[in-house]
Amino acid sequence: MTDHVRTEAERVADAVREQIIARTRLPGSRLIERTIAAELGVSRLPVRDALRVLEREGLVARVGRSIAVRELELRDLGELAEVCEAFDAVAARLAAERRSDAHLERIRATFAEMSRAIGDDDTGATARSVLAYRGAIADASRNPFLVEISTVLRGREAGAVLTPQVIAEHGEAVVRAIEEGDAAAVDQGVRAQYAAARHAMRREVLEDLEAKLTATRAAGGR
Amino acid sequence: MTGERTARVPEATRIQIALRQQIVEGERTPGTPLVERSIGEEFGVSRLPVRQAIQGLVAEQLVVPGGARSPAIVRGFDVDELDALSVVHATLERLVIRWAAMRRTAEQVEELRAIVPEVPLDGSADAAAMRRAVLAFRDQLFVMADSPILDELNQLVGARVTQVISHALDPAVAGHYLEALYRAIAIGDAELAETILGDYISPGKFDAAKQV
Repeated sequence: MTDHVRTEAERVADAVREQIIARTRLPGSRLIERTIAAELGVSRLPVRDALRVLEREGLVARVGRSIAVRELELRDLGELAEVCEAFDAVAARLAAERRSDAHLERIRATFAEMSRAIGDDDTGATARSVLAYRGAIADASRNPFLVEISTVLRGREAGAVLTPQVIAEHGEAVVRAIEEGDAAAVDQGVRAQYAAARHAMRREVLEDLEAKLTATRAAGGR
Repeated sequence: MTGERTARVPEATRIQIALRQQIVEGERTPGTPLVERSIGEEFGVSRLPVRQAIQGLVAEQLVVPGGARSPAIVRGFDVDELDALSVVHATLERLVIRWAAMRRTAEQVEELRAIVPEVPLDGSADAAAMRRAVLAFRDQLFVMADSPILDELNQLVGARVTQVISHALDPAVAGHYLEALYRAIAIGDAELAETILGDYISPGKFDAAKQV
């Protein structure tokens, strides 16, 4: 009863979730039961159950009669960035104040694994370790409500705001500050991650505008 | 036959909503037993939908399930849980109030104004009416913030949060805060609204509830 045996559907959900977060399944792409079943060597029933789980988590959505990876509207993206930043900052600050040695060990280990996976260009392992690292920080806050909320937010955000690279770049400062119990430094580290993410979003808009202006001018427009 | 079955589901839902409101508004206080038979009589229904309603409230963490011979009871707050909730509450309300101030429409501001009660300065406010006003005000803020993600988070923790808000509420001053918040939001000053909220939920905000 206490030892939870993972069902086939849960394993399928984990695998597909990871692919979505690793961006090997892109927003808007369709999820076909038969193909996924063949890919993972299972029958279609657990795949159907898994897709239902992912739909509840908001990672996939029904489009007509098929199911596709959910596309975030730009407005959602901006909102998510603000909501995630607020809750991440609170969770990390609490982690700095309340973590046990075991918590710290897990934060360190998952962060190291994430850095390794990024270095190896292993997208699957990167997605897994990003989730594990962020989950480890939430757990260390010892606040069950925050743990629940950050699980929902991680699924919803799915790497669209914080890329693994951004997390890795600023993560070392965050991990060190959690270790030293320095709540102000933790807060600063988390804010820096989101500032970098926001900067990347802005740059994308401006670069796209510039490229289009250049192309139009080259074609003889104004 | 099927008619009876389909009619039963909304009945349980209706009772769950009514009981939730009574718990959240502090009418049924922590520790109060929820006796299926007497609640059934109160609502004029059989015990089955009452049982289903109570199960729903257990899932919302508002009620502690009963044993073989003991009834379910309204959940109280332990100190750790209050601390955990207060952190989440502060973060969530700050976001919702910011966005409400930024995104408000004229009609919504009017609706918000209608919720703010007239408050006497001698502290003689009606506690039950004030609780209802505070919770209605909060609901309206979520409408104004117009954010699916905040709505979702509110569904996750909202019932517990509102139960705590309701118990910690000081009816003598809550109305003044509502009026000030309304004015900040009406002029679209998100920063001012956050400051007022911060003062309202400053450390110690939940001390009253802790004594339950």
